Amino acid sequence: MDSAVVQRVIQALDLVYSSDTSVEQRREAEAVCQQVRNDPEALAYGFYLANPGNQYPAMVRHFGLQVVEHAIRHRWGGTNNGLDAQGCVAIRDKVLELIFNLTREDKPYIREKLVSILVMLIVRAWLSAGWTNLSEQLMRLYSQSAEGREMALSVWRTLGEEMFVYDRDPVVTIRKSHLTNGIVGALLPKSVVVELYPSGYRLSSDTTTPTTTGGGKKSKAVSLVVLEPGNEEGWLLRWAQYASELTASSAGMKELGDARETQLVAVIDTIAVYVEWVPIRALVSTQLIPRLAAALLVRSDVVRRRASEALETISRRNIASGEDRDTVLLQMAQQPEALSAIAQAYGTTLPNAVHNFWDDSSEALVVARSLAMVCANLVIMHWTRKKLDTNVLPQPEQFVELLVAMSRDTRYTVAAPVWGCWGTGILKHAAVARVPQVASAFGALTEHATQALFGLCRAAHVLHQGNHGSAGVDEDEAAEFESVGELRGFLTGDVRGRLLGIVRGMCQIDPAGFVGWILPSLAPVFGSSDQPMAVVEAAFMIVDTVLAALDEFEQHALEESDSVRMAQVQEARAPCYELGRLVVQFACPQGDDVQLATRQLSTLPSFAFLLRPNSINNSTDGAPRDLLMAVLQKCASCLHSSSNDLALVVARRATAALVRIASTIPDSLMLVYTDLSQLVQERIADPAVSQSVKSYLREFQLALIAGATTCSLPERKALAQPVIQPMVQALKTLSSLSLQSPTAFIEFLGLPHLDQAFASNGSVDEEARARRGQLSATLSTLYICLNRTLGNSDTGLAAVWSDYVDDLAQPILLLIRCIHALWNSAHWQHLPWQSAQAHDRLFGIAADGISTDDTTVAGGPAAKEARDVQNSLAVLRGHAYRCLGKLVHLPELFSGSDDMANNFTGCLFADAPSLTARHWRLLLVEVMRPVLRTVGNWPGQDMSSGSRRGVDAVAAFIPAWLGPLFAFCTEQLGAEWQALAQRNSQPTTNSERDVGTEITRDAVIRDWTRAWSQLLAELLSSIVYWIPDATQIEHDLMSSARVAIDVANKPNTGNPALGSWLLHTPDMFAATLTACLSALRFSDTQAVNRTVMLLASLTPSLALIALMPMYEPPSPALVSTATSYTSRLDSSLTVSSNGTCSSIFAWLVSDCVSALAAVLRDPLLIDVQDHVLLGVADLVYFSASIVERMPVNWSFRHSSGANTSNVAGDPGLAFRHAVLSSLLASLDNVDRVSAENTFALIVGESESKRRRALLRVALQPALAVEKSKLFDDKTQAKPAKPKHLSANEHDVDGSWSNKLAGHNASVLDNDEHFDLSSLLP
Amino acid sequence: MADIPKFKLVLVGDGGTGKTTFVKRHISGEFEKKYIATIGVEVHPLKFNTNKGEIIFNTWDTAGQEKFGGLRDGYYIQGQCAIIMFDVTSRITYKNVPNWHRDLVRVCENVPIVLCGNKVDIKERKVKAKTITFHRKKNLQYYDISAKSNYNFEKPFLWLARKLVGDPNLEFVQAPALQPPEVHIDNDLMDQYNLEMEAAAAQPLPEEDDDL
Repeated sequence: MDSAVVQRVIQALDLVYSSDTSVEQRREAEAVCQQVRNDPEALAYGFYLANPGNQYPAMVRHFGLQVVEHAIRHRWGGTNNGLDAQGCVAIRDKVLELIFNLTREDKPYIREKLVSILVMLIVRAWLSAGWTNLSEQLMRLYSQSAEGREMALSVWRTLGEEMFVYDRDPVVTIRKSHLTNGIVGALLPKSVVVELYPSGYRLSSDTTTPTTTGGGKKSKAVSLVVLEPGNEEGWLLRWAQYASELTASSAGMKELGDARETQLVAVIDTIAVYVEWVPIRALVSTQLIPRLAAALLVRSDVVRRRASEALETISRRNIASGEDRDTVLLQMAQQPEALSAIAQAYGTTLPNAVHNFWDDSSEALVVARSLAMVCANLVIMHWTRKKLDTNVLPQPEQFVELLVAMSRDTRYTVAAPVWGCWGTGILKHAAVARVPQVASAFGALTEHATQALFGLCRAAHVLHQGNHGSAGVDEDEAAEFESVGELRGFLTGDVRGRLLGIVRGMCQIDPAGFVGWILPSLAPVFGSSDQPMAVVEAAFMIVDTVLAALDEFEQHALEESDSVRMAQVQEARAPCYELGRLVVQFACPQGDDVQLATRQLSTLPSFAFLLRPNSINNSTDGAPRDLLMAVLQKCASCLHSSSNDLALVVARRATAALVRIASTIPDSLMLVYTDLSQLVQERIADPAVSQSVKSYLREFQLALIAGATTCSLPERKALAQPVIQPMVQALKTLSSLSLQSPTAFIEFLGLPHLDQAFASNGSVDEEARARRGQLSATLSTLYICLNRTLGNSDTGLAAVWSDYVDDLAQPILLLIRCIHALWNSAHWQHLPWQSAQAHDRLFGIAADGISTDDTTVAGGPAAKEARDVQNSLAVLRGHAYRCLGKLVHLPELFSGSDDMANNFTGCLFADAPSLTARHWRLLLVEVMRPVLRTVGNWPGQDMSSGSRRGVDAVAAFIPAWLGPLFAFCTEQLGAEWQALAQRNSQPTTNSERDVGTEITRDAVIRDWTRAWSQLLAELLSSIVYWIPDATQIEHDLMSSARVAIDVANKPNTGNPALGSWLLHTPDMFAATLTACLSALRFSDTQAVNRTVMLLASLTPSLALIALMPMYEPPSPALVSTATSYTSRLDSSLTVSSNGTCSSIFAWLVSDCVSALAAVLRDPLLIDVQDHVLLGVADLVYFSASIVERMPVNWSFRHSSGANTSNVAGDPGLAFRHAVLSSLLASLDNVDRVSAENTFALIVGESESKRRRALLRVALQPALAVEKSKLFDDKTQAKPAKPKHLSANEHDVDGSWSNKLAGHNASVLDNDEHFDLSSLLP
Repeated sequence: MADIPKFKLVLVGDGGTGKTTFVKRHISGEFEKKYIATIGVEVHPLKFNTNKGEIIFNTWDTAGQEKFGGLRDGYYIQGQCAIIMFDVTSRITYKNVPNWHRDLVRVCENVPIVLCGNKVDIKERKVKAKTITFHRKKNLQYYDISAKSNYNFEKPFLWLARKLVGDPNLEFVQAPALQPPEVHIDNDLMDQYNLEMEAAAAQPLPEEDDDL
């Protein structure tokens, strides 16, 4: 070791740690430090510098430890200056020696660094032949002194965090099963280990929690837990006893003292890391729960907080299969010492007691909340978990008392979780709700919940008015919210929902009783018009909730034919009709605020369940029918006026209520259809009703017809005809007059007249405006109706459209063609433009769609008209695309597929090069995606065999445009992204407008890219539909039995007809994969992520299928299975002409791997890295699975030497070599030997997470975190900095002037002698 | 200058999250569009005028990338406050926040720390407000910021200054040297984020952060 080097390092560190060092000096100094770290003797230097005997300053010692840490991280198991087993033991011993020699004076960061290094060593080497005595070593440390004990705790805590909390060191993932074995043996008492694993130990590799072999999950890795001699009691018990000692000795103390507090916090924190993981039996055996609960009573805010958090963790943790699931509940809610401590600790946090027991009242609030969470978790996750007929808590009095007390807490954040557990847990659990002690609490609970609801609404309204002080919210609680709005959002969101949950639960326990109880409280609210708004709103909420609860209750009773419950609902009906009458008759106060009116309209549909046909027909007093008519008339009465925006809001809400009612009880409405239809037609004919409301009314009619089960198809068609026919007729008329050519459409839009208006500053063409408005309204209505009836899953009324398919599709296609033509300047050139201004304005449409420049509005009537044209075009374009996207759900559209394909291509892509990015995005999302999803994939087809009709439809319709679309989008997007990259590399301009434009452009290109990736995802999903994932193929081949391929039960993603066609059309299959890889070049995370995820699931399967023909299966059953997979693709894809290597094989090992490697290198795609690594690792793993892990070896049918790196013999091996070569060719700085070793390890590693971690370790030097090319050349001069401007040279923002005015100033501002520096050291 | 209180501020976070750009905004007002990775550390004194006098944050702008990490946690030694930055358009940068926090607190015990989600001007936000809960678990202060639009640019420093001085009434009295924003923040977008934050605050804390 060179002492001169040491001196240089010390000087360099002086420079590095000084704030005043210049950039150049710092660089040089850091280079010296870096040299030492990379030196072959780095470890020697590191330990020398870290040795306290050499008396270097703490920062130098810290650097020495960093050198050691660096060596362990980068040289462990490596080929270059790698550390061997002997070296590892020596490092461990030296580190332990440094730890044992620590003194109280040593800086905390030295201790932490030593702990961190030791944990790195444990992660890499512990529980191996060379290291089995960790517990003994740490026991010596633990027993040595208070500091040693703290260090030992810190080692265990850090190890637990590395294992279970953080996800940084990939070695943890790789060695997880070894480490899990070690920790089980070290932490658990021997008695528990023996009890859990009487005949040895088996750990599941799929879970992080050790489970017995009887568990449901498959166990892959089998290994024994090693119990270290002398550690029979286990660390967990040791910590628990230590915590108890400290707690017991602190009892009655008014001040805990810093040292004892630190010790308690350290031990509780260490326990807390593991409580979520250790077996429940170990928690019981070590009495951890009562011991932690006892710590709640220690006089220290921080200790109580940590203890409550640890208990909260236990209360919500998972219970592994094979363990008694009731243990946690019984330990916490039944054991007197634990429950008493929790109740006592909670009592100290109450507002009237807090100042006697806590130093900081906000800490008390945090602990109260944590304890409330403990109780809520115990109820929801344990007590009311399942088994509705079993109560597992024999004596719940004390626990229920505590829950009721917490429900009364005035602090919303404390009470909310407990309200939640009543509503979603206890009240829904039949057996628990029946327990007498529980049932006796219901009265008080209901009373309190309703009162709290009214109080909450009042508080929310007060907060809405900005009056924070009188809202009645606890001060500490309010202070936790950053704004009044945030607090209000919390109250009106989560808290309100939980209170309503209690109302719902109570209503379902005793429907008639509850409605009878609540009705007298609500009647005065609805009977008076001068009630506070908050009260009325709360009343509406309660009505909504009660009705929804009764509806649900009745549904369940009907499903289960439960006559008792049916009778209960029946009893509750009469007061509900009365309630309905009150709600309908409630007159909202007149004014600008329509909140109550809309709330009332939202409540009306909730009465629908009372108005089912049976109720109407069987009623003797006509109450249901009266209520139905009253509800409908109330809604209709809100449709009259459209004079102002608020009235329009109410009208829309009224139509929405009608649609909801129509969807819920269509058959009831059909009983009054004549009256209803007349009511609707009157409104549609009423000029005072706005067009949008009329559209919604038509939607209402169609929803009604669609849902009515009492109508036959001909009847439905007849009923729908008056709704659909006007739209069809309007479009046909338009088509014949104005859509035959772009010129006619331009005339229709009134553009020539607009041109003249600009030139002469004259009036605008009102007729043209009306035409545009009418067309927009027609399309809008058509879209709403199509969406209602041909939506995602509801095709109830699809058949009624079948007669109109051609009449609708044709004009829409023509309209799209005409709209697209507007963006092609060739169609404009012949127009005699008189006004350059008009041309510019309208040509703006061509440039970037809708202009958002407000100056257009300010430019007079012509400019406003131009704006209106732009808006109309945006609406027309959007609706035309969407309508077409809905019509493709109808098979009739493709009945004459050839014509349709030509028409489709001709109209949509005639002016494709002129379309803007926004057009493309809309077109891809609204039209092309629905087409790919639905063509050939119609209901009622046999998907398992691949419907011939569907595939034929795809074959006739898709090829005409899909290939050109691939080429066009790939090229255009490539050019756009290239331009974007160029712009980003140019020097910054601080022009606000330029930057704004740039951001908009960026967003538009990203949107297009994402739309494109969605379209590609449709194609890939369709392929994936027919190709099972690689794990299933591997399993099928290993099972050696004839496998019935079943795709019928696959999740409904992808279009089977499209997938089948692609797999048997090699050109399009190749084009699709190529397009997907090309899309990976566009650096948008969301888009690339979507594509990569699908590729990662598809490529390993393709690798297996591509390799299968190169092997000879050993049995006829396997031949059959293999053939069943290979037959899914066209034979030319799986077997090449010379019998050596298929085109998929070649595509995977070259194109695909290179493209994925490029993603790894892209600094903008760092979020996608994990999926790429997973994809590559799986590709490697599954390529080996055919021969490596099959029960009977497959023989080689073909050598793969011809096309793959001269490797003859095993084709799988050749495949992996080719993957490796391709990967390394695309990445710099990766050590080939390490990568090869990694590939060899991956082949034997069954768990995908570890496969990915292995690959990450191997490729670490080249991963995208390096952000490579952008900064590799740091010698390049950075752009010259602009001249430094002082604060005075800038305009001070308006908000600053307020601060300058001093309204926030403290009293110290008046002290002339005050100076900030006087407060500081 | 010698009497002006100085605090060592450590600025950490994944590469590319905007640490250097944030600092540069405060130094010269320029918005650095081009990404040039920081090597090791760059130390900049940032001076603020407050109603209690001047204050200087010696800001140690550290490298986000391991390759250029230099002394890494060595730079944190004697840190008196810290900012952890992530990029709201990159989930992985938020996922790594616990690692940065752990490394920080191992060296700097009990120092005030601000968590900053940068680039909120970008509409395609990936780390939604409701997922940002780490600061609540660790009692940190959180701010949405945008170096590009100057949104909340002074808030982290103001909060740290108040904590370090122990005076909640401390205010900055003069705007730092900033050039006009590159882009005006979309107020509607910010309102939406604020609403989401409100909703998020009402949610219970997730058990783990692996729901990113």
